[in-house]
Amino acid sequence: MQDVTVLPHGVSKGNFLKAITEFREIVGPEYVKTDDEHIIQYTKIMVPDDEAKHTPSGILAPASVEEIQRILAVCNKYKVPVWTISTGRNLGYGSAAPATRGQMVLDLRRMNKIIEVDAELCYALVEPGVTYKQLYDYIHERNLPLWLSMPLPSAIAGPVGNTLDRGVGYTPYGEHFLFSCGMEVILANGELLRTGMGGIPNSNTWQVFKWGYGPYLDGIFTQSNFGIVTKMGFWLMPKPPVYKPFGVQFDNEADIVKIIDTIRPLRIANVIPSPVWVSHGLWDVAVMNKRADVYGKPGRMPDDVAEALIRKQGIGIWNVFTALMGTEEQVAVNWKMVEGAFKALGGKILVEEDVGDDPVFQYRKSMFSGTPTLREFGMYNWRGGGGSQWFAPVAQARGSETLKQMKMCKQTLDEYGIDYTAVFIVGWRDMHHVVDLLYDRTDPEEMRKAHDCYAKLLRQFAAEGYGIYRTSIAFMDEVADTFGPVKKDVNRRIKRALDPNGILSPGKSGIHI
Amino acid sequence: MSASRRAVLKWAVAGSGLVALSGGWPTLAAAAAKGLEIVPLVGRSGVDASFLDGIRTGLVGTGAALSQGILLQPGDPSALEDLEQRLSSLRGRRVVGLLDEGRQAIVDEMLRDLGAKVMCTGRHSAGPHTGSSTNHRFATTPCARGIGSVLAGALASASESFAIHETAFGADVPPGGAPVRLDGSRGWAGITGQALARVAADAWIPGPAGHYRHLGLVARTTADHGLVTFAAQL
Ligand SMILES: Cc1cc2nc3c(=O)[nH]c(=O)nc-3n(C[C@H](O)[C@H](O)[C@H](O)COP(=O)(O)OP(=O)(O)OC[C@H]3O[C@@H](n4cnc5c(N)ncnc54)[C@H](O)[C@@H]3O)c2cc1C
Repeated sequence: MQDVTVLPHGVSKGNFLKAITEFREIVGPEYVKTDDEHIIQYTKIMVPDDEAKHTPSGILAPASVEEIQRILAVCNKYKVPVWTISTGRNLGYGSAAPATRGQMVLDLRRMNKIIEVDAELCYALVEPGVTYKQLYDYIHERNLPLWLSMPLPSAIAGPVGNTLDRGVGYTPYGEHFLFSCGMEVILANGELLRTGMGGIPNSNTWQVFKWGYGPYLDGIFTQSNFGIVTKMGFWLMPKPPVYKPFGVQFDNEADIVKIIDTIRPLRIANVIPSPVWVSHGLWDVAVMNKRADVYGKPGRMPDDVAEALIRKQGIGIWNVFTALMGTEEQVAVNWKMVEGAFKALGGKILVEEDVGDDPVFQYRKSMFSGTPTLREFGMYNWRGGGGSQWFAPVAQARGSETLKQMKMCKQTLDEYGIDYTAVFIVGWRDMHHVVDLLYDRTDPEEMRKAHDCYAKLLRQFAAEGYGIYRTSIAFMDEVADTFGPVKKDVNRRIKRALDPNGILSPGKSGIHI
Repeated sequence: MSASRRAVLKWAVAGSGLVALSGGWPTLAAAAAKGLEIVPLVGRSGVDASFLDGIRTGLVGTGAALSQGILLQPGDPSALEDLEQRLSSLRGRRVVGLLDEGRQAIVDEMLRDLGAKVMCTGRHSAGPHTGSSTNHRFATTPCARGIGSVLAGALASASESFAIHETAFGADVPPGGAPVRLDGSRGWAGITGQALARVAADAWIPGPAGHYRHLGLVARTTADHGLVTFAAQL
């Protein structure tokens, strides 16, 4: 028997070893890992925290619902907690590591069946280990006229994990949880719940009608630790006959106000059906360059330096990207409106006919049509040192909000010497203002600064009435606090009712028993 | 039973690294007997040559064989798709790699998917924000323990400035004999290449993990920054 490095909190070594023996009987010895060479891979975090705080006790990789149910019986018996991941690519939010030290990671990668893809009703039902790439290949091999929506780590991430953390993609179905339909969830006591229409035996409407009967439960299984999702349905977009991606570049930072005010009505009326990506030029510079090659000083890159650099690289200070789609006639009508609106603002419009093979345009074109690409990972070469923490406050889709949030961000980033690499992603009425706090993990002082920077941003934004849409394992309690004591208490009461031993992902979203 | 004797037994049970725990440089017919093959993986950073040179030097006398390496072309990380297939065809071999952060983030995920065993990872920064020194942060399992102190010794002997932080995963390992000394004249990449090659060849002598800082006389010699090294068994 391998020795144990990290015991679950409050569990004796003897009991833990008994649990491990029983886990091995359930899933087979090769799917229970307690050796350091496997565990270390589940501690590779980018967020500004010590790996030691998030080191798991081991890894379990079950292959079926029944195995998970039996695992949970063992967990309840010995009070061993499990941290569930689907594909475990929550990069910049904690990757595959648990919120607290001493949990068994329940890695669902082996449950990777595409159970159903219905090309007429345009939906899929999948297990948690399915990756976007797998589903993309499935659709393309069969030449199905369907589109996926995926986040930027596309190929390697998966729809279940992404949706459960309420992630986003870039087609009209980009608000992923909105387009999910029906879940199968194992509760802490091993019971199997099917949400929505799934409770009706032999129902064939599980993936087509979201609400079912009575309280709508799916939401409580997202960003939470109330259950383990083992199947999820979601809607796929019919492939549009015409797809017209386009970009618009703007030359002044203050242009962001009119950009957003122009986009808002077009988005709300669905003239632009997809989310709109509005990246600050320094984001795009960071994806393509190493900071040390273009700027040799510490501290946040001053605005004038950043602007000069952005211009030199031939990109906008703001870079809008989105797409129109539909029939030829629909696209033509909508394009007239969109082109007119952006021309009136003085933006430089980029369409495929003009820019052709430009790699950045082609990359964004892929991203907005749900084609896997990993180009954005270039971002990690900007600062170097492997540190990344997403700060992602939600804002109203109003121009005035952008300036206010940007100013607040930059002031705090100045204090901690972190660059403003950011994008506004315009949804229907909201924006995710996503700031990648890139820092160097090899320098303990930088790591401390990145941590304190996030904490301060969080406090300041909360004081101004802003909340964030999602956070990392380093800040789950703090973010939960910003949403108030009643929400926290309700979460805790649900947790205690559903999982009295607290065996499911303790600490997720600040929820403890 | 002494703590160190107990630890040696633990290793024996776990079935790895026992040779490395005996004193002195192991001659390691063991690596040859195991048929260990080491595959270098690099991605066109400015220090590839020193790193590869370090691997070659590190393997001398270990009995492990150096296989043909994998060279990744620079550019779009999306082009990494083929690599996963390549790595999956290398089952049983050990990979010693040096990549930029962007691509390593993806390779880390591939290694996890392939069920690889990662012995050690190191992050290395030499950007201007680190002053004129290089910074290194290692995460080591017991079979690579002490790599930080060995790098520190070698860089200090070459009067380089550095800061090194080693996080130890897993059981404490008793010192395995005389501390390893590596040639410091090759810069951090060469030294790390040597050390990781010995780790991969089961020829590493564990030492203590710790934090080390040195203000040397020699200014940073490389403009490279934001690189990651690792040793893993596929
Ligand atoms: C360069 C870059 C760009 C990124 N861009 C985007 C982007 O555009 N959009 C975006 O959304 N994200 C983005 N991310 C963040 C992240 O990588 C993705 O959201 C990714 O999809 C999450 O990983 P995953 O899909 O493997 O989910 P997982 O890591 O498997 O799951 C995420 C979380 O959901 C919960 N969970 C997972 N499975 C279950 C289950 N079966 N039951 C219960 N709870 C579960 C867990 O708490 C888990 O930590 C980006 C990251 C990087 C590095």
